[in-house]
Amino acid sequence: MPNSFSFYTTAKPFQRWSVVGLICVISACSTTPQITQMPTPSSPTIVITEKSPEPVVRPDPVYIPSEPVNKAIVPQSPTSITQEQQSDAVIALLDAAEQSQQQGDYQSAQNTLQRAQRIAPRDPEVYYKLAESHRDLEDYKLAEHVALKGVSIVQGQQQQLRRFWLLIAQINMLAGNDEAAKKAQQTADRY
Amino acid sequence: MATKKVTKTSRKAKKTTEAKSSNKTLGLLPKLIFIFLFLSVLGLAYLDFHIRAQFEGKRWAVPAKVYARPLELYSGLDLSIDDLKIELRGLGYKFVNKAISPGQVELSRTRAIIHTRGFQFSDGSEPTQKLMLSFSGSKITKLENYHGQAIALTRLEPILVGGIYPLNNEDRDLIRLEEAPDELKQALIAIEDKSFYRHPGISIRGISRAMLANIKAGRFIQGGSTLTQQLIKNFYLTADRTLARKLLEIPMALLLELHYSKEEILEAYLNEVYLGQEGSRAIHGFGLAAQYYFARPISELTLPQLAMLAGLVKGPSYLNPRQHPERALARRNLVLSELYKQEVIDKPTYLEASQSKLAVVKQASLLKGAYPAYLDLVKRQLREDYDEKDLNSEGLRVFTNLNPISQSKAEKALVKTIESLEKHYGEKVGGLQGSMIVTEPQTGEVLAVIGGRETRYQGFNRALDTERPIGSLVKPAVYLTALENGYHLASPLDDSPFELLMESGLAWQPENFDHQSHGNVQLHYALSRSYNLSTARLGMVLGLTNVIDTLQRLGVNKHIDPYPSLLLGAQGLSPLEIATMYQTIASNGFQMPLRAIRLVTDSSGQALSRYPFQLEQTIDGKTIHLLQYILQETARVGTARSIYYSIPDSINIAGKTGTSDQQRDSWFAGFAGNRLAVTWLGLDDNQSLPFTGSSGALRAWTEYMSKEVLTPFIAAAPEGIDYLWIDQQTGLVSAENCIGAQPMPFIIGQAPTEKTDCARNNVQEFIKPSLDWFNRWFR
Repeated sequence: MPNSFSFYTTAKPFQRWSVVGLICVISACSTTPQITQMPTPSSPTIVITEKSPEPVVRPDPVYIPSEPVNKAIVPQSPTSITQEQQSDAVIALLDAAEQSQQQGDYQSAQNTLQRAQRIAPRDPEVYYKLAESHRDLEDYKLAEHVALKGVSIVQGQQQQLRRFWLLIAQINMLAGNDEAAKKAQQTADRY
Repeated sequence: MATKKVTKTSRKAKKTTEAKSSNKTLGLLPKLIFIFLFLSVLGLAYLDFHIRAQFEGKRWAVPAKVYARPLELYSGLDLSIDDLKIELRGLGYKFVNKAISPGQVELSRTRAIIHTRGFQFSDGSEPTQKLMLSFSGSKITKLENYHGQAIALTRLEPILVGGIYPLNNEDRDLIRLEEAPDELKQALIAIEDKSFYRHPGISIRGISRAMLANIKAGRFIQGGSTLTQQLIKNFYLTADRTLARKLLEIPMALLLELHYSKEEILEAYLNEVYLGQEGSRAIHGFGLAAQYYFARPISELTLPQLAMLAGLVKGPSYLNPRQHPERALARRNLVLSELYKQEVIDKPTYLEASQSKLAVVKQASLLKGAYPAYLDLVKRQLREDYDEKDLNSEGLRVFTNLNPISQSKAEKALVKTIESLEKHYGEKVGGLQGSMIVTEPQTGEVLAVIGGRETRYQGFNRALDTERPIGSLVKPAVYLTALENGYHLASPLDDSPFELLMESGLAWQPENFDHQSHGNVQLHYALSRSYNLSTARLGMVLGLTNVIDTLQRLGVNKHIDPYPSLLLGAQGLSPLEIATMYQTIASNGFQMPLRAIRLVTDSSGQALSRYPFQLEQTIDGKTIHLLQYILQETARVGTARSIYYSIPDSINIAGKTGTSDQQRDSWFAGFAGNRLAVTWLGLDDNQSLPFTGSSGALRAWTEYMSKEVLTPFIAAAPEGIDYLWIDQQTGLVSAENCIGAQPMPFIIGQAPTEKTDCARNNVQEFIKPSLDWFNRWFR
């Protein structure tokens, strides 16, 4: 819904709410949950004046056994996704990238992998190999983030997660970030 | 009298001086002749040096060529036959019953046979070949070569979409002599310079004939130029028709012929000659003219088409086939008849060719220069790495991410929506403008840019240069900040009115769009319904600097002042910046630079610079997952629910509407799995609109998206996220079988714990996110 707001030059007479409001806002007591790290309001001179708080009365929900009663508004598992297997095109490109990589031609490997990425932007293998190529080019920061992108698309796949975290551990080790490498290794070990 | 005397005396004196000087002149003559000769030789030597230096060095400033992305073809690709047609039309393919040569295609309802032209890419060449494609719905199901062998992957040649021209706006597309069809060379020689292969650079007969004509006319009207002289004229001299120029032309033509073969001179001529004008762009050379008039490479033109081009040399504007087709036709037929007279073609060929239509393509169907807004973005990104001079003279090749199919659909959708809004609202929205950016959300590649409703107009680029208040598009940044600070989706927020007295003495009193207060609302609900009061309160609690920090981590790369009105979108941003911001949300918290360019190569195809996929995680995946939930809710039941009137339920979409203060700007930003688009509508004079983000920009967005082959946005739950059944009324933990419960994601350890009575008395509450479909996705 769009917003519409306006400026007024004079304050409205809801003085008695102003104190309550200010306390409310500063402490986040009544309407907000615990904040792990309380941020400081950026402009301390701002005074918030409360207007008309309303009590809300809501009934407790009813339990209906056996049948599912609620249709999810936001589907967790889309029903119409067709099975997507690695296409011949992607396989061909991954093979070509592999060859370039073995020949030490990382630039060309990256080009090929980006072609593969455009065809299958959710194929973990693309990101794995891309991360490797950045690692080989000693661009460790980018290598790590590409691998993290890989992690974000292999959720729930234990083996893949382990593989990606091992790669992240290795990248960090090469980059000299021993602490991060250790942490990544520990994460990998969980799978 | 006195005056006369003086005159006489001075006359005498003059005579004496003249006599003396004539004696002197006689003595000086040999010296003068010597000096003249010496200077002539010197002059000739200089001319010679000049001619050779120019001819052998860089002959032309060749503008950088800008290409769209090549269309990758493979079995399984989502591409309808209609989409393929857009691409092939852009490439100037001829739709025929039987494809027998490159640049031709046969189409049926479920099959396409494409005879490709082939292209030399920097990472390998695609040969010219005959491809057979089978379609089922909007998908390629089979890709084979003409021998029935399966092809894993191939790509069509990329569409040339523009150039970067030097100040004189000369554009040209160089061809080698062997690429020029024989008929073109023959036609050119037949009509312009019959004795080309025989004369030494100038034609005495031609010059005498011209001089005769000049004497008759009493002024200089004819040049009697050979092709060599014409080349000299275009190449080295100015266009003025003066005798001095003419006199210089002759020795230069002779010198040129002395040094270079007829073939070399002809090749230079083919590339130099001026053949038309498109706005400020001057069309030079036959390579470019073939594209400009027939949208096809010169090698694919027919005899009458080549004859027309050869005829054009005489006067490209007088004979302009688009404006004066009758003149161009008459001139073409004259060329054809010369060819017949000189026995280059036989009678049937002549008759058939002179009967054929001109077949010049409409200027509007040309794609070169059709995407000024996209090209603008390309140029800006290029200027970070290249000098202007390199761009307009070195013949660089720039490969971009422009997707002509998406661009075409986006243009149609935007223009259609604007026209329908104008029809509906009348005068109030006269001159309504709009802009749009389309990206691929996983890679950050920019697929389409529209800078205004006149999509071909090279003017103000609203997609890049307008910084209009973004309204509620800012809200996800406020809520992300909250979710990073311990809030969860069911956290109660206060949506009651308040007034904010600022240092300046002004009071800020935000209102909801419906002018109602909604009391206590859950966090997800407040965002999906775009409530202002709860958002402004939340933002003030979180602190403006923290919200600004989030905006910056989302990719907004500019100074933002910490005014409270920021929380409701008073900050102005460009559609491009919005796209960057939502891109980070779509890609699970990874910030990526939006890239228009893939690669720049030199004229020989050697890579000069690459623009690789880059990213950096700036927002935790778990927090983003929560936000993605709300933005999907917005599309399902919130302010953007109208999306599902025209897009199938199965396509998961996330997005946000935005309307600025006083309803001056109408925005929508949203994404499916494979497309992210930002649309903006508004008036250039900043007047209020009679519609909001939902009823304006969202319509254009949906119109566009519904024409794309979409994949659903997949919100995979990262580790550390659990789904709980939440009672929608109270925000308490409920259970699957309690009425009014919804499954919602929470970061483990930050979920609400208080339960409804229904949940307390009954069982199961946690649900594991189903990864079944997700595993199937990869198998």
